[in-house]
Amino acid sequence: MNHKVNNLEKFSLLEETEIVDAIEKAVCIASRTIEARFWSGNHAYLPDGSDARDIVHQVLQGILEGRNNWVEGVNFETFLIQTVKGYISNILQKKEHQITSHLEDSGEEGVDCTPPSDDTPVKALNEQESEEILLKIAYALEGKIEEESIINAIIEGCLKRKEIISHTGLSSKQYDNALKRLKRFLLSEKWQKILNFHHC
Amino acid sequence: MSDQDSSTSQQKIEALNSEVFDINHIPTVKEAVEENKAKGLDTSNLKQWALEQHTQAAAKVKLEKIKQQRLAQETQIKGMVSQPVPSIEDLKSWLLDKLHSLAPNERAQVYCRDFETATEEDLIQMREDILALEKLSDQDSQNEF
Repeated sequence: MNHKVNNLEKFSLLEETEIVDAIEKAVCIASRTIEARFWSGNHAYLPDGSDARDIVHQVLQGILEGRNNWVEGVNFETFLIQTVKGYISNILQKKEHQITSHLEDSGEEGVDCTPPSDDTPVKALNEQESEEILLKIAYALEGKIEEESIINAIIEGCLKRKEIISHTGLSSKQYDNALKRLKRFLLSEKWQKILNFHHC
Repeated sequence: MSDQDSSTSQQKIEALNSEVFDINHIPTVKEAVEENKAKGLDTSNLKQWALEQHTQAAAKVKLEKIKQQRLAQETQIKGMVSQPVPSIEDLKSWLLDKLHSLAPNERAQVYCRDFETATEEDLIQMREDILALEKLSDQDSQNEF
């Protein structure tokens, strides 16, 4: 049985609530993933005017057309969310590659929305860029004690929530509130100006 | 913090993304609905489209199954058309002769008793089987020579 018939058959057997709930979650995850790329300058790689809903729509279409193999035993929600994450990474990766090629070859640049073949996470920033960005954030947050302490903890190698909380000495509530402020800052025009200024 | 020294800056950026943007935590439906709403992401059109696709998918699957059945029947009919089909009485008599000649023993007799109560469809299928067996038998005989 080919992927299209297989995927269609599985999709047809779902309950309507399963579909609706999975879409709501997938849009939420897609939106978070786009934001997570946006703050570091990757928004330029997303198709103009597209948002999380367009991504989920295209992924769903791909699933129904059999472009992704819906493996036996994997539930719809997991399959959809994994494919959405991989799809976003793939767009960024392809687009980044195209822009590089464009600069090198003066070739044309277009948006390739081919769904990903796997769920390999893409590291859009290289090691040096990542290090520079972390230092820029720390510098920009100087004086904002709680946010700065979180960034410093991460720079020092604390990668998990428990480690960061322990390192900063913040309470869970303080930590969560500081994360919200950090998120607002990273998505703000102020940060984008700092980022773009340094990129220029 | 055992791996602190070996963590790369890329891993640190991923950790920052994971903590700040919560990309590795799957929200509950309620959380997702609230978050999407807060970001102005109205999902009603998308969900409606998906539900229409759901209905269409069921129809497409049904059509595909019918198509497969039709193709299987067509193949069967083509096989039958290639041989002229005799009347049921002639067919019964022909089948009995063939059964006796191919395996004139007790097993054949048991098979014969079953076949006396067989439906017309079964008889046609039996005829196909016998012809195939006969063909095989002829091939074996030729190989022996």
